[in-house]
Amino acid sequence: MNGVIMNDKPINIKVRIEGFSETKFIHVKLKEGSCLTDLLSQLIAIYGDEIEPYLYDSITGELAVYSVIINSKLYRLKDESYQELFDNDSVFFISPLGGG
Amino acid sequence: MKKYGTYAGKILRVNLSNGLITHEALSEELIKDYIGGNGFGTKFLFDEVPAKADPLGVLNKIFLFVGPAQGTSLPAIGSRAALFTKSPLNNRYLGTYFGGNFGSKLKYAGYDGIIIEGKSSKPVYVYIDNDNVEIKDAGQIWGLNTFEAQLKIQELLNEQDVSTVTIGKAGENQVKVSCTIAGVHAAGRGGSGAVFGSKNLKAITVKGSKDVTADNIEEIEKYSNELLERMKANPGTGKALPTYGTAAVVTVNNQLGMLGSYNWQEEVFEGAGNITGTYLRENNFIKSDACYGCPIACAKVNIVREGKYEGAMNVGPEYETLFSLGSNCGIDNVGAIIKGDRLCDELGLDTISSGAVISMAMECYEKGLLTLEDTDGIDLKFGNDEAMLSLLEDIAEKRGLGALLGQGTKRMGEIIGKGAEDYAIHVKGMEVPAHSARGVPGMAIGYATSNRGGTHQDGRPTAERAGAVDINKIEGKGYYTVDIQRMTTLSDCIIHCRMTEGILGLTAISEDHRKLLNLVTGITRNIDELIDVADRIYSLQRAFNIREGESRVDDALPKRFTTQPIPSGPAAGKYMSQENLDKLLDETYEKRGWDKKTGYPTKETLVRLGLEYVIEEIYK
Repeated sequence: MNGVIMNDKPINIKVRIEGFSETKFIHVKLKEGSCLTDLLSQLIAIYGDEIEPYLYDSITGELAVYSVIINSKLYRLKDESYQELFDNDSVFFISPLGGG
Repeated sequence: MKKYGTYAGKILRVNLSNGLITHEALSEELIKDYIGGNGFGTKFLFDEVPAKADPLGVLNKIFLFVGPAQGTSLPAIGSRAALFTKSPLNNRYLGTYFGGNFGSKLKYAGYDGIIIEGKSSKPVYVYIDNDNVEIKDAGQIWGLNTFEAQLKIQELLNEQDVSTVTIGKAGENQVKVSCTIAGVHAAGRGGSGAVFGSKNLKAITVKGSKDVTADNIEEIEKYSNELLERMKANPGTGKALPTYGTAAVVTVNNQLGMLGSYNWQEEVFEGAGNITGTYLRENNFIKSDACYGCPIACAKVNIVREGKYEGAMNVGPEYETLFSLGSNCGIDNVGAIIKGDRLCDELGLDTISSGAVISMAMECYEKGLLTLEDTDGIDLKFGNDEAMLSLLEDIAEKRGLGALLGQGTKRMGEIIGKGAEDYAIHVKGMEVPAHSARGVPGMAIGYATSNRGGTHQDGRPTAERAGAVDINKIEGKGYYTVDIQRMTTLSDCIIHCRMTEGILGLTAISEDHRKLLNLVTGITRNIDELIDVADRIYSLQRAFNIREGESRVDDALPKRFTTQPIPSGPAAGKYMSQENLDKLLDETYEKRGWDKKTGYPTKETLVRLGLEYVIEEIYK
């Protein structure tokens, strides 16, 4: 349960953040009806300082990741952070890297 | 002349025909109207290389420029340099950029740029040691690969503290998909190596020991430190790029369903998991490497630890090469890609265009347009990594099928015929890099209106790919792309690395660009004035191409991208119809002040930009 108390039936989310989780997905449990914003909160609650530098600008404190891919579909956090997540969803955070 | 900012104030001119070496002062007009780098290159190219000049003839020139920021401590900026010439690949304006430390050393030698003109009667290299400049015999260096040549020059000079930009076999043989190499960094696109080769110029080597000074140098250093901290704080420049380099983009694009595969017949690659940044990190990574003064260290030294390519090692491959020699050739053996990347660097081949000609040949072979007789018995199916590697050497040597491939995809299509033109994935004769024109609308119009052709350095994919801008929206992306191109044009005057676009500005000329430029030029300008500079440079590049015969009809995309939707995967169904492309072209011309029918900058626009003298050149 990753130390988080849940009274409702949990849903299992697989999360991958390039660099932090590398090839392996992190498995996170959320309450049924949770959205992307809840997932971000849960990731910070579980991993704290370990994960923050991969998601947030450490000077401004702003979320520096603009979008995620849920099961092969793109969602922009700016407009779709309340996208509901479902059991066994895979969430891939797109790193805001330039170049390439 | 009053000293401006951190400019050296001097340009070196070397005439290889008569051996004359001169220098000229940087004019106030150049500094104010063109800033540096891209601006200088564009201005000199337009003014000094006449229309219809043979790119491999004596009238073409090589312009190697830095900008005011080179030689300073500004991170991911201070070390860079750029080459400008008329491209032998597509007969257009070419600007091609490289990292390492050549740019800073040139500035320390006291120059803002070098102009190479004429043609030597025998192989030579140019050696610059501060004020002492010599044209030296390259008899012992000609024929060496790019890495050997750099080491040999150090040995001949008995000097380690030099930086060299050089060519390999491909440049010597004037192959149109050749490049130039400085250290381990490529000025990759457009065939710059062939222009060196056409002049019998093997290399330019520089040593410098002067200071870069300015009245406000402490202010520059303060801003430099601020940028450094911001780069470390950002997940892209502080985490992803330092860990994986640009190879991290493979995973992103494959997840988006926009990873060019099988000569862009597909955009999902089933073998992508074997060629990602993560895979390389776990299986091949040795250490990171950085350009001079850069905190990101995006370059990754990789080695093949097992299998048939065991022992192959290179700094790279970058994302573009993982696509061009990998997914687009249907190859998921990362060892072969590392070996191919190394071969390209040694031979002086552009990995993007070289991969593109091979993937096109593979499609032609699978569709019966090339036969076993044409391929000298090679079974040139997608996924044949050994064929890919042998073809790279053949391209550089102009041997067998390689002689055809080395001319680029556009000419390949024309020569093979029988519909092969449809498999030539180029824009204006330059091969399209790894960013999907069907999936990323801003990139599509960016390609079509690039003055270089199929490059991802005028239009940019990053904001749409990362999600900062809606990737699904098409309308308005013409206007959007003009803002992006203004930003990249100005960025290329500064010559800042694209890795920092998330820091300095992702979608338009930013307050950071303004601040940085005002600091290093010593000239106070607002953003509108900087937009005018960017538009002046871009319109002058356009005018250079118009003199060569370019017009609106050339602002086109490969037929595959305008008629065939992405067939499968997360982005299935996406494409850029000609109707939509035409609308986006109208948007860009409107915003730029270009004529919608011809694509020419209007006379009014040219006057507004201070380019009156161009009117008579293109409105004859």
